[in-house]
Amino acid sequence: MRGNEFLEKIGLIAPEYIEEAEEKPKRKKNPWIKWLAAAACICVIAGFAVSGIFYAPPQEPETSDPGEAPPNLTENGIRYFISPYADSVYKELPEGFAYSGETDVGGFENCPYYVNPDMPEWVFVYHEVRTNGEVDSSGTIVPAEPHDAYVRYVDERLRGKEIVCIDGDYYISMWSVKPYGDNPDVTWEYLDEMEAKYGVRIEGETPEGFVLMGTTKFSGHDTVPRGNLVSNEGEFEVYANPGNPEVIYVSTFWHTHTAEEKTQTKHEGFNVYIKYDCPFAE
Amino acid sequence: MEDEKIVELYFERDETAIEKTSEKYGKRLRAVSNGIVKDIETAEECENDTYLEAWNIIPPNEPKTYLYAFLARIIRNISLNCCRKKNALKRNAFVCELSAEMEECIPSPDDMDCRIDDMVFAEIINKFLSELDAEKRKIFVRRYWYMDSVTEISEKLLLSESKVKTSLFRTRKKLREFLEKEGYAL
Repeated sequence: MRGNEFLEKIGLIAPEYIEEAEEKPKRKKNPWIKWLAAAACICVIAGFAVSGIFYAPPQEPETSDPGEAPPNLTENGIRYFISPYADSVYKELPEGFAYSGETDVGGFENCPYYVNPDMPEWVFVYHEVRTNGEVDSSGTIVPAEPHDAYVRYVDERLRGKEIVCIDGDYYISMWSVKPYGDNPDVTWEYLDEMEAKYGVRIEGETPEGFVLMGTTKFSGHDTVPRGNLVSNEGEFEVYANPGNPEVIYVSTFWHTHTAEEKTQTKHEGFNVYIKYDCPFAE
Repeated sequence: MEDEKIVELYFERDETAIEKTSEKYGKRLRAVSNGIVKDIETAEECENDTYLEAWNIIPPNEPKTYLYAFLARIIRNISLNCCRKKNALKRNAFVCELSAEMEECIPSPDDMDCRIDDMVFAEIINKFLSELDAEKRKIFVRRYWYMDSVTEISEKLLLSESKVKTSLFRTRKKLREFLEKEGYAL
């Protein structure tokens, strides 16, 4: 075996070592912080008036161990993750957001971040991004160089969640609901029960008793949908059963390509959304 | 979406699988590829080829518990081949450099008759890695799996460059000794 082959075969190492090598080490704290804390204790014990010498710095979001998780930061006890959507990168800071401090996030240090008290589910962080570029007038894609931009970070209880609001009642898709973590959307028992009853997605018609409620209005990605028939995923037909408020069906389609089908086949059906206590409900 | 559900979509031959994979792991996979090819457009091509490859090999593979590592391994191979094919990437020399370093670990590099299959190789290398301490293992994996330069490793792991170099040198030596001691002729 030669070196190039050996290098190729190193690719076969166990998955845990591949993941482990992506973990970022925790930054060591500056030693003077320890001494400063010790000095503060001594001063307090000795009864000296130290007020005014030590002050609380502006609260900074802690960057948690990135490890396997996408870039994230914690602000006011809420963990915000970078949005998975392509429309989450802004050239200009959206209105209503104001500078709140600096943070280390996603491998970038001292990034300014911005909050909006009227929109606590989002935080914007200014750091380097790589976008696909833009299409010029001739239709050619002009790749964008890495550049700084305002990037949307979303409350972990909302990020990636496909939610529909019907007159203040919230429904979450079986694809996106999470029964685990610090802030589970639902309990395991409830999820198991709902999955056993309704599944995750059905093909064909809705079950008997479910009628068309209308088409959802799109509130925007990563938003909390509010009002009647509003979705944060897009415009879809919604079917509900007035006698069964625990579930709704939301129109969808998908493609498969199995060996038997020989070609791409379109399927039409419905995603199952179950009722849940949305933490953002007003 | 959970990995298990994504893998189920592959099994159902549902193309949403690729969309969900890209949504969840696209950025990380692109970063792995870009670290090897050092060219963002090529990395994007490699990412797309990875989804196609994943589509073709799941099933029969069923990486429900290690989907990211499974995809990362695919994109690494594709990116490595890309480097070898595209001289214009200027990464060929670096891959040669890494290959030469790897050759230092092989007890009998010219012995073409002594071949071992992938399963045995994986077992050997994983046994060796399991005996290293975490820091040395991370340095080794960053260098020879992710193909990082010494400077990149020192920045990522918050270590001095000299420490990284020394660690790599000692680990290579240890690997050679390990292979000899265990009686593996590669």
